Amino acid sequence: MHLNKYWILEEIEKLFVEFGSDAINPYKIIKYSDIDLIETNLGNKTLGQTIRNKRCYVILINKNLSYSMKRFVLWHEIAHVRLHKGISTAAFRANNLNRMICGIEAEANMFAIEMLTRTIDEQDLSYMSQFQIIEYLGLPHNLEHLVLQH
Amino acid sequence: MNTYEIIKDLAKEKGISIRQLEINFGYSNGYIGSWKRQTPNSNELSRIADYFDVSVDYLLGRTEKKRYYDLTEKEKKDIAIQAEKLLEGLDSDAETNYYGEPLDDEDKEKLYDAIQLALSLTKVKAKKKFTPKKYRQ
Repeated sequence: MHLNKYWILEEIEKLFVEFGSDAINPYKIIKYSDIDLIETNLGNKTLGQTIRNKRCYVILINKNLSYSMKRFVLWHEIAHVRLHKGISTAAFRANNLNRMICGIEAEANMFAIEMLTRTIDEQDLSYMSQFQIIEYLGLPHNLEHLVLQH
Repeated sequence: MNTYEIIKDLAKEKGISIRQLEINFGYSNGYIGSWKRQTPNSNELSRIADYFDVSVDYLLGRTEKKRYYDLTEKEKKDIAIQAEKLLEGLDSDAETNYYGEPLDDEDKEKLYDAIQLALSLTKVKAKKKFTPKKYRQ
């Protein structure tokens, strides 16, 4: 997979400049950027979705998810809001987690995982492999290839 | 409907009596009842409008909308249509799409409800945010 990871890293730095240390918490970012969050039952296949209408954003998230998965989906949707302004974003489906997905979904996934890895202590991170990081974050194993090596 | 009846309905919605309302505002017993015959002055009207979070126009019976950002019947219908279009992946006004992935009917219904909720939320929010000040009352 050939993704421009420097672009995504730049966007993440911007996020830290804008929100400071609060940038690590997705709920705070959603609150400060004036985005509505609805936790509801979206069925089994849909994990989350961003809707933009009349210049306002709403993030829908499936309430049946685990804690770690919820954070991941939230970051994924925030990535859509911040990286893909004005692009139609497909609903985040369960089978979007594997490799055969279109570019913006992959970028959003990478953004999400990178933001989650920032919560791990840097010292610990230097010993961990990609697989261990995914295990630590409690995410599905097929996301392993998206973890960036530092 | 005159002002007294409108206030009575609002109080009923909130679950308080007219007497309790009078006590809250520091009016004497039966003072609000006197508005059956005469309209209250502007100061009293604006206090009551603030208390119930409605516009003064609504208290006077000049408009059906309680607040400037309330959705009208037509707008609600429009939102239902827009949500349907979004689900079919036809609408280009608001952003979301699906790349031809099959959804079973149950999931579709849940997603439809969620999208409709999201669209009405954004509509109200846009009205609150972007209505020019001179049109807010």
